[in-house]
Amino acid sequence: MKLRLLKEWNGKQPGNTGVFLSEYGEQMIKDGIAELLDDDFVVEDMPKKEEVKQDPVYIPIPVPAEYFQNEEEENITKPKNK
Amino acid sequence: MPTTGIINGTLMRLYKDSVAIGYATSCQMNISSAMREILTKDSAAGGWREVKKGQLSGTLSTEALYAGPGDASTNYLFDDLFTDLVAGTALTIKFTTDVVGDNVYTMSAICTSLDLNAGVEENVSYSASFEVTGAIVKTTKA
Repeated sequence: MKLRLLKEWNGKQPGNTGVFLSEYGEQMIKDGIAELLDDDFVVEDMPKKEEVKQDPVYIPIPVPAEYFQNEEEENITKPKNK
Repeated sequence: MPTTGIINGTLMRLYKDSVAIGYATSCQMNISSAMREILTKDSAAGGWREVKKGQLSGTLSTEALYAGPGDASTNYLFDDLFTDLVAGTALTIKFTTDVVGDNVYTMSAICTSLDLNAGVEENVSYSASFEVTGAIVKTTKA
């Protein structure tokens, strides 16, 4: 059973949580040393590994040769340096 | 009511006295019986090995994630086991699901090894081994 300490116990501070055998835990509750936690309470919050986000991969798409020919035919006027 | 069917391994864990060994990812109990050879010149086994039960022994081991003194849990952690190993303290260990009607294996055991592992970009983890001293007693959780 999962308990939260209400009083100091075995050198552990009030507020600390842990998993105890039920027989022992029930006695701790009776003695006012601890309170019962919900079964869903996570006593041991395991560290989670950070997910690495992969950079997007750009895949070149094949295009017909005419595409580049058109590009060369464009009149690009560069500004003249003064 | 005892657990029906195959037991979920997450529920079955090691407890030192009545406190769980914390952050465990797996727990194992091994019980074995040594064999003593009884083959003699008078045996009718035609040269085949004959054995009878010898010493019974048990070991425990667990793998767990490591948490240091800053951890706010009351569970039994690496540092506690370290102290026990150095002192050679015999610990009362229970291996159980803590479910009424299920088995409880109770034993006295000494921590014999601790392996602390710290890999780059990995959780710090450890494994602990115990040698059982005396009998392993099986009871049912009332």
